[in-house]
Amino acid sequence: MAVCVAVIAKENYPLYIKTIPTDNELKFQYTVHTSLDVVEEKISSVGKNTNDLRELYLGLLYPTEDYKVYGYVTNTKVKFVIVVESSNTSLRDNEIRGMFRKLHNGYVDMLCNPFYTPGENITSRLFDNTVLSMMQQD
Amino acid sequence: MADEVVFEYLHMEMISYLYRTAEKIEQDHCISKLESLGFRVGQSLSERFTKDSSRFKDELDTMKFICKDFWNSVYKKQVDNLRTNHQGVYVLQDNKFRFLTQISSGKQYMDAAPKYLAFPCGMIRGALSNLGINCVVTAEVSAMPACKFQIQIQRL
Amino acid sequence: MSQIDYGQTAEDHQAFLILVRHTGQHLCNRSFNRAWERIRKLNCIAIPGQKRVAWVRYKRTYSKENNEWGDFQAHRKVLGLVSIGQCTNSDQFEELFDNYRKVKEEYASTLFNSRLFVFGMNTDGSPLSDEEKENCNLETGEKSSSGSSRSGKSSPVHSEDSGVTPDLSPTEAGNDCDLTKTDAETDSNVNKPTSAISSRVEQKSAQQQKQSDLKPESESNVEQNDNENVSKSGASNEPPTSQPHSNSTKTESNSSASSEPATSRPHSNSLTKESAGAEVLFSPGLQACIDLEEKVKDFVTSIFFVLEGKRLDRSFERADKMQLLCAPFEKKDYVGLDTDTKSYRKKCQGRLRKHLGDLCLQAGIPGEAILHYQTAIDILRPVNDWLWIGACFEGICSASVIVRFPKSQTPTLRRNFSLQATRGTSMANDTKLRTGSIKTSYSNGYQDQEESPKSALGPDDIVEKYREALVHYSKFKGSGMIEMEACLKACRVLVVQRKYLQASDFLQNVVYINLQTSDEDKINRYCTLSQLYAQIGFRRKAAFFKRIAAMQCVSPQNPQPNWKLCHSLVMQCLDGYNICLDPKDVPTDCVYGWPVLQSRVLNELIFSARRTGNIPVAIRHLGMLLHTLFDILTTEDKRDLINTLQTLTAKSEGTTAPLALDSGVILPPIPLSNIPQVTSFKLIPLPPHLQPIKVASKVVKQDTGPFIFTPLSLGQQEVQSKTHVDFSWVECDMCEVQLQVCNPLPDELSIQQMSLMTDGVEIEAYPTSPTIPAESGPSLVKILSRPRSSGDLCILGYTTHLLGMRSQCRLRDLPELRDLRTTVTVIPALPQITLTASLPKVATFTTVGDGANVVTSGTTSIYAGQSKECMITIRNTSNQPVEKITVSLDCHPDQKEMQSKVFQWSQENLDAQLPLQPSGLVCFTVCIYGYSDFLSSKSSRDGSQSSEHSNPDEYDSKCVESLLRVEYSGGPGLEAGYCRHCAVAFSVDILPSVIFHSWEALPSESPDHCVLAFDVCNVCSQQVEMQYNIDDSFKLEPKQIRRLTIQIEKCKFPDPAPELDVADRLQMTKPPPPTISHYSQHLDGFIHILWSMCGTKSCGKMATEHLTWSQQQLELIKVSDVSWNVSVNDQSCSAYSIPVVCTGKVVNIEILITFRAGVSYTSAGLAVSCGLLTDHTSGHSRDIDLVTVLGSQSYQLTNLRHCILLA
Repeated sequence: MAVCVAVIAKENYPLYIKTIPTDNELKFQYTVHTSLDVVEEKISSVGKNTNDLRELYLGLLYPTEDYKVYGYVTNTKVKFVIVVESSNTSLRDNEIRGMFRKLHNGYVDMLCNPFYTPGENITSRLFDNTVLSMMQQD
Repeated sequence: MADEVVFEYLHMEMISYLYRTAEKIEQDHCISKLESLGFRVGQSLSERFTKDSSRFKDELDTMKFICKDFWNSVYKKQVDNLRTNHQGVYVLQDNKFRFLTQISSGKQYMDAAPKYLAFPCGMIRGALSNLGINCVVTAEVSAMPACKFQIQIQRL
Repeated sequence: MSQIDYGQTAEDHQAFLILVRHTGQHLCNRSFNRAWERIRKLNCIAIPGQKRVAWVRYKRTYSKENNEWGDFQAHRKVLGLVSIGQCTNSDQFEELFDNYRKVKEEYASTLFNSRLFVFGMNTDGSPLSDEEKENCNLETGEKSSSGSSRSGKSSPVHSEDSGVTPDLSPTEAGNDCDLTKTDAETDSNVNKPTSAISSRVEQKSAQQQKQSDLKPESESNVEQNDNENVSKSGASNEPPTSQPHSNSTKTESNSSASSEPATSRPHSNSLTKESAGAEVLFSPGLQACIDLEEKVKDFVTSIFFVLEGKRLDRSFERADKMQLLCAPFEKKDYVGLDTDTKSYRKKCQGRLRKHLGDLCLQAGIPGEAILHYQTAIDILRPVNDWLWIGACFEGICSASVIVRFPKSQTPTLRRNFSLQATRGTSMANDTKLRTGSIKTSYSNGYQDQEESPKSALGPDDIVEKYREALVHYSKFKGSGMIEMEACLKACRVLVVQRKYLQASDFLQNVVYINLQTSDEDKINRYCTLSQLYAQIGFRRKAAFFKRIAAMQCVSPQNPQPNWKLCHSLVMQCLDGYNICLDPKDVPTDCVYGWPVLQSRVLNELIFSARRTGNIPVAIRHLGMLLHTLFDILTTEDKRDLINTLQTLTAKSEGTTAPLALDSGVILPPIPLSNIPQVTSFKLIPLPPHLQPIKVASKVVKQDTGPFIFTPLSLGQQEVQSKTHVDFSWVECDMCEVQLQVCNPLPDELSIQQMSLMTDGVEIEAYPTSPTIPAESGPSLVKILSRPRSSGDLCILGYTTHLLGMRSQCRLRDLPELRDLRTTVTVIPALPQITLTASLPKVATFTTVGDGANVVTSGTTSIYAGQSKECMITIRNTSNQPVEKITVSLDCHPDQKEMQSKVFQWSQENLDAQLPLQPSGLVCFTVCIYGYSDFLSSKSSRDGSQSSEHSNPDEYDSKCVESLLRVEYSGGPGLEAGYCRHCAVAFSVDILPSVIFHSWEALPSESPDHCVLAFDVCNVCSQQVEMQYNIDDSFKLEPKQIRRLTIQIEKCKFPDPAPELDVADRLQMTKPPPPTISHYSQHLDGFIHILWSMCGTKSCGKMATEHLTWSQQQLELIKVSDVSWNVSVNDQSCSAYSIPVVCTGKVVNIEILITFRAGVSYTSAGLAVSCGLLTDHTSGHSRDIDLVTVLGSQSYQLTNLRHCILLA
């Protein structure tokens, strides 16, 4: 399913990034990093149109040649980015929404862990497993 | 019914525990300790409570969330009155603040009020901070069960 | 290969493309650039007599391939050529003209008009030859004729203009330009494109206009033929001739553009006089050529009218014998195609209509253009001519943009736009719709048509149509360039509309377009993408493409990697990755940016800087990487980076100076503040014995002034105390700062040098070079320095030199050390001394009082009563003279009295030896006396009753510890009121020698003497010889007690404490404890009991001052209060001389009683008894009764006086 899942802090630095093992993991880092531009643009343009559907799910951020990048932002401005392969046609908007939902739930549970300090890199194994489950269902 | 009072009891015990274990000199720190406890709780709560709401449009939207959803989830009631001067100050008035209802009304235990309000203040601050609003939260009690929380937004 | 114009905008569709060329070798690049700058400012020219304006796009290079797209989109055609050259004589002019002609030939198919600007000649010809003058004259003469062509409406006139061509030709012929003529004539029979000056083109078009009825095949067919002709003939002719051109264009593009002060546009009414027909324009120089702008305007105007003519001509297109316009890549598809089909005709018709739209757009009537485009779409749609439909859509978009956002861009603005890249600032203001309509009257049927905004598309539709156009373009393989440019144009339109997300979609699309182009082109493309992304606020994306562009510069396939460009491009992308060049800008409290990518980018920077050979810059980048991202680096990374750093610094040492890049970017120095990491930074006070001590003296009093208490000065002190440490350093003394440093590296770190950064006082630094083991916790590093003058010394930080890199770490930049107090007062130089005592040093010393400033010590053991001397040597080890030395005893007040007896010295002796010059010596003697009470601890002090035999073990030795404090000062420090304290610690064991066991006073035979008897006991372990009464002595074995008696004269005791006056007595509320009564003290002076030990060859004196005498004993010792003298018969008699009197005689006994002064008796009785002593020797014995006393036998004295009684 997903080939890359990233959690990005309010201040736009990575809290967590997981990619399927490839020889070019750095590429995903760049992909996620540049996707922040679109996320920011989408967030900042929210105020303009009042009748905008202000969903947490931001939809497709941008397609690249091989991948599709989806974005999601929580009310606390934590961003989730999921990258899926363009060739994977089974993943439609609803599936992606579901994945983000799951990711958000996992993140909230992780944040409520007293051993986690907000702003730190995420090392929770539970969260890791949540993410892995989204990446492995193939 | 019982689950509603659990938090109340826990809160009371938390305060009394802190004050009991603190040395005489440290008692001044208890308030700020409670406040920072509240901050962390507020951070987590805001993350959880906003999970299903749509993205907030602006500051006021966020404040409304605090007054309605947040308050409802924590205190099982809504804030009775929200006022703002549109310059970064919001006043949340709760006529029957849950943590003060167990204390007899009147002015007798007025000086005990701060320690019962530190945690809620911290919780508001934590929630707002996580929602991207940095602020200072103070509480004011004039008659016992009623309480006003003043939120002063810190703009950079 | 066609070049992609990455800077194209939608508005460019309405512009004329004019090529400005540098011709010949005689014009220097600088002059050309100046001319270029002047020309390119003329981008918008008002057409006289028309309400329209002509927009112009100038290019210095334009490939032929691009020109071939001119049919597809008219703005891609080179309409005008401006060649600029210089010559001084006719030969050079020939050459110049030849060059010019060749260029013209190249673009002949599309050129409407051309100009050759020649500098270095007189305006009316050459200063060297008359021929050229004539030439110019001819030209001017020609102008009048071509002036008529300018009006462009009366087409019949143009046919006569063909006669003008011979006018020019003779001049060419006269200049040995026969070749050109022949070429022209041979190459093109119909139109002579080689000499296709404007008039000819006009003529040509005029001919066509005239012949359009006759020749419906249209001109473009002819043009195409021309093209083919040129390319055919050029195949043989051109390559050798175009060679110098390509060289010159290269140099042009490389040369940097020099700016020329803006010249005001001359008035354009000169058009009537000087027409645009003149092809060659002479001018002495660029500066002198004030009418350059004027001439260019004329030139543009001429082009405008040619265009206008064409536009009007085409508007009456006939459907028969239509020509098919083609995009370059389409041509081969239509070779040999049946031209007689309906679809073919439709295509021809539609494409021509589209072309007409282009012309309208260029002619400044976008409203009309839109209509043409729409008609074209309607025509083309049934025949599925997608490419051209796409072009129509794009045309509509361009026209709509021009209508909707009029004059929103001018080249000058566009140039600056990249500078003010903040989004949505300038352009949005121009988005007002042009509500007013322009009424124009044309000579054709379209006249009076309103250019209504209704026909133009709305902002959203523009985007939609652009999308549609792109969809159509993308269906063709050969239209990549068009598609890409359209994407960029659409993006620019959206930037103006602030639709950033949609703009980003278009930019994304650019990436998908697969075009095989050169590396240089790719770099251009990525840079353009980056710039556009920056404009829409996508700074990360912008950075990403900048980086991609940089990587393209050095791609492995690239035969000539350009590392310099690569580096400068990567430098431009730093902002998108939140990488700051100044370490001060990096926030320390949170993560800033994307660490993994930052590390990557910095590594690339390091590598590219290294490859460009700019080692210092590479080191700087490496420092940045270590500074900001050290925490995320793995051990392996760290090791690698350190190795890299060392190899780099081996070539060029890392400095602390800011580095400037060629781009003007300054790279501030980066201190390696985390290698090693300093966790604590402490100023160390001087050792106690060297600490300066303010002498509380008159100086303090001066400070207070007339006010007893001033709050003002208090405030100052508080301010000072925030930064000042609470101790001082001394000029010329070694001062120390202690640092706790950690080594975070996986390898041992050896710091070549570490010293202090200071301000305020000059210091002499003594750098250290510690080595810290790998990944070890805090280890101590001491940095020494020596202030060279006095004042406030502010320690700003420390400098390190390690791994070949010098860094200056300022404390204020280090968050943990920011709030330290690091200002220390340095006081003027003080001398420094060393003390040596002649006694052996003390092994252990339990300090009394303040023992910290002890510099040396002495220990000895002496027997009670013994004296020893200790020589103390003071050596001045400093450069300052010691002018003052004060020695005092530092001990507990209770012991003061006792210790002052043990230790004695002569201050006067010391003072006499001052001042002590540098490296001088001063000695003084401290006399140590084994002070003891010589009493057994058990024996009572009055000890007359002999106690039981005591155990000698009880007589413990006593240890006296004391500090001899030496306070000294001198030099400037003394003037400033400072001194230093040091001390010698003494530890003296007083061993018991002999003690008084008991003592008593006995009367002596003589009334004025008494006998003191002492039982002395030897309590030491050796035989002691006692000496007393000058020559009496005896030996005393250990534990033996023996009595010794001393007869002393009865003494008169002085009054107790006579020296105390009344005032002192008042002060002494309690009299001092009578441990030593003054009697004993006084008595001590008369008793000399010495002991000596044979074994140790020591001797001493027993002091009796601690013995207490009972009242009775004292009576015996004291001289009695009353003294008497008895004289018998005037003979004084005493106990030893008994007067001899005869019996029966009256014996006159005179008794003189003297009362000692001060002794007061209220009354005294005196009784005289007389006794007779018989002379025993004679055997006589007399009864006493025989004595008769005359007078009273007793006398009552009431009034005590000295009196003499007579009896």
